[in-house]
Amino acid sequence: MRRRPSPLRSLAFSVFVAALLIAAKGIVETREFGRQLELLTYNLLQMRLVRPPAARDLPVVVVDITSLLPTIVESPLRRELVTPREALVAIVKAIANGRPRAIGIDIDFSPSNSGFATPRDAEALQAFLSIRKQGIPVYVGVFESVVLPPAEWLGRPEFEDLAAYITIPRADEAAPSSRMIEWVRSAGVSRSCPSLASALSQVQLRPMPGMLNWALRRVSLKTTDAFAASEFLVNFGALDQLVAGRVMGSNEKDIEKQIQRIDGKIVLVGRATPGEGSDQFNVTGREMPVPGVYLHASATYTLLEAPLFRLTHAGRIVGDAFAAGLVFGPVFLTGLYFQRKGRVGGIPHSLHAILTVTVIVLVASIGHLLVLQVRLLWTDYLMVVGALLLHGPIVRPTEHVLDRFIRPFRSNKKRINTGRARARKKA
Amino acid sequence: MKMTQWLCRAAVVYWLAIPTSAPLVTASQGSPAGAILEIHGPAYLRVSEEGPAIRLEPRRDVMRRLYLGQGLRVGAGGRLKVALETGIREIGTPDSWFVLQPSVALTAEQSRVAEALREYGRLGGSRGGAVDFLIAPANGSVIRLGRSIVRWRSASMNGSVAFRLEAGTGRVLWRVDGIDARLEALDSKTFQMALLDWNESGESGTLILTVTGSDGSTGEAAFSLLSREDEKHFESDLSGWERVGDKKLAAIGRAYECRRRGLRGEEIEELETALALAPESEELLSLLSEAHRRYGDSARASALKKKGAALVR
Repeated sequence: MRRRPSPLRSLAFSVFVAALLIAAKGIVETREFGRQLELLTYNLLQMRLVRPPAARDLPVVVVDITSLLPTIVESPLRRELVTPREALVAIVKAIANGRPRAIGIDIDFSPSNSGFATPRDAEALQAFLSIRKQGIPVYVGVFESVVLPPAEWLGRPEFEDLAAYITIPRADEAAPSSRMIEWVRSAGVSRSCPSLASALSQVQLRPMPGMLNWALRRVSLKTTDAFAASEFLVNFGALDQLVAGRVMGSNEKDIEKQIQRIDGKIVLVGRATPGEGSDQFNVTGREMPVPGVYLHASATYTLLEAPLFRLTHAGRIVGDAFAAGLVFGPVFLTGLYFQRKGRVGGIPHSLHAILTVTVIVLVASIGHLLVLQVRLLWTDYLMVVGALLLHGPIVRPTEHVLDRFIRPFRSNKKRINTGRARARKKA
Repeated sequence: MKMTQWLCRAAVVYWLAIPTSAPLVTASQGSPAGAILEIHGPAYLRVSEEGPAIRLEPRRDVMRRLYLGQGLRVGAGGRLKVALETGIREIGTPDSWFVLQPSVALTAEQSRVAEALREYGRLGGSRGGAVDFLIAPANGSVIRLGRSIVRWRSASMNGSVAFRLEAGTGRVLWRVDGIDARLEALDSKTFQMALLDWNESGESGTLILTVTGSDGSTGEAAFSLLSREDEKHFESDLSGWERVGDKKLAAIGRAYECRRRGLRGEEIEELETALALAPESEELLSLLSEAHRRYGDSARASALKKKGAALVR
């Protein structure tokens, strides 16, 4: 019968194989397969996120103005279909009467090279400034004008503080939207422009405290030579409630009838009927795309109540090593126990398998708990589970191969040592 | 910056630097933004939104400075030529105020940054609420392979237009530029091939067609393709309506089948066919008007409604 290796040697083998698996996982993560697997995990975890309270208790509400028909604005330079500004201002004023916490208008007001979208834009922006003076922050969308100096984001310096960026980062290939912007700064521009969610929530995502900064992060910085943007992961846990609980309003009377639903909330105004707007986005867990205003609303909810955390590269390695330690530790200790008891053959295979399965369940449960309680998206835990599953089948053959390779040398060494000992004894 | 824009800006800046002696109306606020070059026939100026319309005199007011927020309008047969920072413009549409607005002319560096930001993200809202530059594929509609002609409203765009088709994920499937805006339609084989390739790749979801005019105006339409299986059922249902004896009823039946599947463009076509067969039918006028209103063409909707109301009277 073949002698089983000592627990210490088994531990050394396991650590060696685990290090190889973690390194292999690191390489796989950068490949398409790894990205798809991470996305799958992100989607699974999103579905497990704690369901938020009912729509009436959410801090954010969407006002759907899809039924407000666009009108044609004509000038000698252009002809354009636009949301009528007078009607929009009337709706926003009616919302302001409901004493909301803040109002965000998901319409791009940034001037193009032929000026504002409508001759009435300046008047509308002035009206929004008046609402601000009543103590209700109002923001309107800007898109391409963020490449200009801040004073020109909305055409005139006095409107600068109304500007909020409403771009949604393009998702990776075939992936639903998962990230939103906190702020963006174009090259050569003196200050960053906040996103609609950031401006409305007035929440600034600071880096984690020093103790945790190396392992966890709330934001990631996207930098190119043209711009820099701070991004964060979006919690779509409230999406269904936001869609179902939206306030339909094509005029100020519609709003007045539902005014109690606005009191104390952050209100986002936009074309919000799913399938109707031109700004449709695929999001996790929904078959049909949703209008962009819901992504802004979900991002606002995320910043206010449910920010998500993810591991840094260093944090991932430590997490993976910790998970691997969960397997080796019990195996090593059980092996020691069996050795002390003088049991021949070390840990039985079946017990090893039971231990591995137990640890896999434990890792999955920890991942689950981290999402539910801490909202830490340990998105690569499926890969860790895979690595742990591979661990057993890899360690044993490796041990055998190494054992076969090392045994002749060890036997020779033993023989030589025994010969030397005998010679010494004789002498 | 283009040479013509640079020359206009230089001319305007130069002209504005000379002190004025006897202004017709003193501009009370804002930055100078242009000058009147020529006045033909009746033409008017207003200094603010609520201000009175002041008739411009061809001799006296030529080379008059213009300020942001001021409005210009011509009467019947009138024409104005003005120099703005963005170039020389002619104003010839009667009874419509042209208001001077701040212009945004990007530098080469700003254009590069804007392009990088366009690649990075997509507008998560509506541009001024504009939803329907594109007639086909209509925003929110479903289209069929082989019936995918791009149509747009030329009145909203001058010069050339560029198109970009992308999957909901942001992957660009097709792009073309330098198309004459006045054509109003593009039957592109490469567009249809891009749709076919996307369909055959097994992907599904929303497609986004973006149109950008050379004047910077943009429009977007989010649409999807009818699946092959649905198309088979659709054709079978259409052939069922062919067996109905009356052509008008068949057209309305086909419009119903189109509406069920979100084929907005084809629904409108079928209703137009029905209306052509009975041009004074109040019911058909109302149906078609409602369809246009639902799909965002409020101008056509109100024209049909007016026609219907006139018939009642």
